[in-house]
Amino acid sequence: MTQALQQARDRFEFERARYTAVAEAVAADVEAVGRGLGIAVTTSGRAKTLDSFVKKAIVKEYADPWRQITDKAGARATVADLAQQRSLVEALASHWGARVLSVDDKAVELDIKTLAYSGVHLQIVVPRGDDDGEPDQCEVQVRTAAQDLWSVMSHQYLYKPLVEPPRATQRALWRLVALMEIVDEEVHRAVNQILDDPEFPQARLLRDAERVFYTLSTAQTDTELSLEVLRAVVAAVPTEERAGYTDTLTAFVADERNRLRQFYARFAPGGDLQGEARYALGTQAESVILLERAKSHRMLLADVLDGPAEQIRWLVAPLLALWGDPLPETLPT
Amino acid sequence: MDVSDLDLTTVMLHHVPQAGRSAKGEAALQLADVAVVLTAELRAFLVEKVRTALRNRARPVTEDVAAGSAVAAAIRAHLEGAPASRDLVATSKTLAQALHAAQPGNSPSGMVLVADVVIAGGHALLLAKLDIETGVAASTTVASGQTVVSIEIVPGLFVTDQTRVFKIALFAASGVLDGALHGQVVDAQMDGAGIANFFLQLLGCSLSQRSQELTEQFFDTTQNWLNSGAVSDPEVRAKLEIALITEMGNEARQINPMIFAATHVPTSLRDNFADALTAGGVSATSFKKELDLIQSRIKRVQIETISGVLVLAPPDKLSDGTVAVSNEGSGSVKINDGIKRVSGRGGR
Repeated sequence: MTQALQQARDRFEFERARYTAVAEAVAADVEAVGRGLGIAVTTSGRAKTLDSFVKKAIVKEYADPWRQITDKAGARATVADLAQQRSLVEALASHWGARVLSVDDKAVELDIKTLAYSGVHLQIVVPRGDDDGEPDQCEVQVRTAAQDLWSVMSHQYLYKPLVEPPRATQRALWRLVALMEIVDEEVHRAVNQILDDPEFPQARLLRDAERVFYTLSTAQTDTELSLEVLRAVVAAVPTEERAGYTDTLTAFVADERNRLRQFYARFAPGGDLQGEARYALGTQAESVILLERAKSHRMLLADVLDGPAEQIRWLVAPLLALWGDPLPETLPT
Repeated sequence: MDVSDLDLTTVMLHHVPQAGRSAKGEAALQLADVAVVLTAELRAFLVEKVRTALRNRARPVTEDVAAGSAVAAAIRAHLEGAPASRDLVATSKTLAQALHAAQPGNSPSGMVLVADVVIAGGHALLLAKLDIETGVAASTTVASGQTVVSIEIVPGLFVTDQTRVFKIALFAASGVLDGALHGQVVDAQMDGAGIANFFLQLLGCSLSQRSQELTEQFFDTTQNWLNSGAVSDPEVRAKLEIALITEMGNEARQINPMIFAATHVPTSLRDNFADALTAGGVSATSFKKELDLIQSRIKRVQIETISGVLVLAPPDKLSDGTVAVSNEGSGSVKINDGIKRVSGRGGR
């Protein structure tokens, strides 16, 4: 072991806990950016293990291992499909701005006749908050679920095997990567078809609503009515807000949780307004969206209820008034 | 006053007959001796109506102590009394009698609702005058194998989903300051710009803000909003600036900020504008347009040249030399200003 490697190893051993913290913070940052896009991102952050650090320095014959090993901290983000991968990479690049040193799209870098791992890696600078020390770096790998599946497998059986598999076995494992590309393309095609479905926007809003509603009420929601109401008022959640609407709704519920629980208890079994037709929406999951909109976008909601959703204004207005955010009166035209 | 958690605890209702010189007098009143029994549904229905009216139409009022209103004194006494000594029945009778005596001769019969109210964890008193309506109700029955729809006239309806015809006054105990009431009043019978004089006189109150101040507040807040960067599209901003000046200069005698928003502000900006109005303390309800305090700011001097060029400028831009008018020869106009934007419309 060279003196440079020995010094680098000792330093990494001493500072490794900090790199773990850096990696975890970056992973949390990635998750938050994904949430803002309405994308469910599975993240992890870790510092390189000490043995991997030393092994990499030896294999790559680094003269200055401390500087040349740039993945001492690493974060990984796994998303469902290629469109989400692209959106997340773009959002992360925009989020970190000048802190991004490089973006390596492995798929673009590959020879057209070569099949291999095709994730996207970003190398970023992470400023040191605790002192004036040199900024850290972190490698962020953004993968689809299929890319991740192949990567984990290949890492274990092709790159770092305990024993080298026979040629035929290696070939069998390598050709699996083609299947992963096909999976990603097929998922991408299917997702586009789903997004193009005219029922998708209200279905997604209902999913968001149900996630929070069932933490507040035990009432049974009528899904058909929910979709009918949301179809009518979907314009009250503008397109540009929909990706992050899960967070908007979650924040609203967090702010109003106790009041919401008391409110919904009135319409649930045993409540003083159980079964009152006037407050039929009190047992409906989509009502939580109406309450949130009445608080944050009262004029927009009123505009929608005076226009495309006029046929359900009579159903919505009593509930909002009882909640405490009555609609503005219909204005003379 | 945030009325989102307003709730009714005890409600008294008194029947007040149609006003008229011959019908006036305490004997004609039918004053109740006990509070009404409210089911959860009824309570919820009334709460809805009261909250909606107050949120959309309330105007702040302040008691004029010198006026010596007996009604104001009764309300104050009720609010300042210890919970155990509060007598809603007696207070409500006093208020109903006073209202009956004060209302104009053409007032229809109605119900006076007086209620102890909880709002923001504190005690308040609500007074409402609701007109009585008559409606037709239908019911369906099956007799001898035939479905029959029967209809009947239902008198005595006093709150319906279409009801807007009522007056409300809300005074919180926390609003009694220096011996004077501060509260909120709604008069849905007026065209929106005011409160019936008899109702204010009955309460011994006057509107907390003069129309001149309300007009100035609306004008300033809207201009500040336009200058805040909230409207990024310069064309939209220009249209709104023109709409504001037009609103101030047109023949309408009142301003309704919500109608202004609905008419001129793009839907995507309307909530932002409404939030700015709220933050600026601007009344969401209609108010009388009084331009005294902003006259100089909304004035535009119009100069038309011989060749048909039109120059519109605020008067102060003429006095500070930004727009210089010379009377030499056939006269000339010189604008000493930077160009922000040049735009054109139409064809040749």
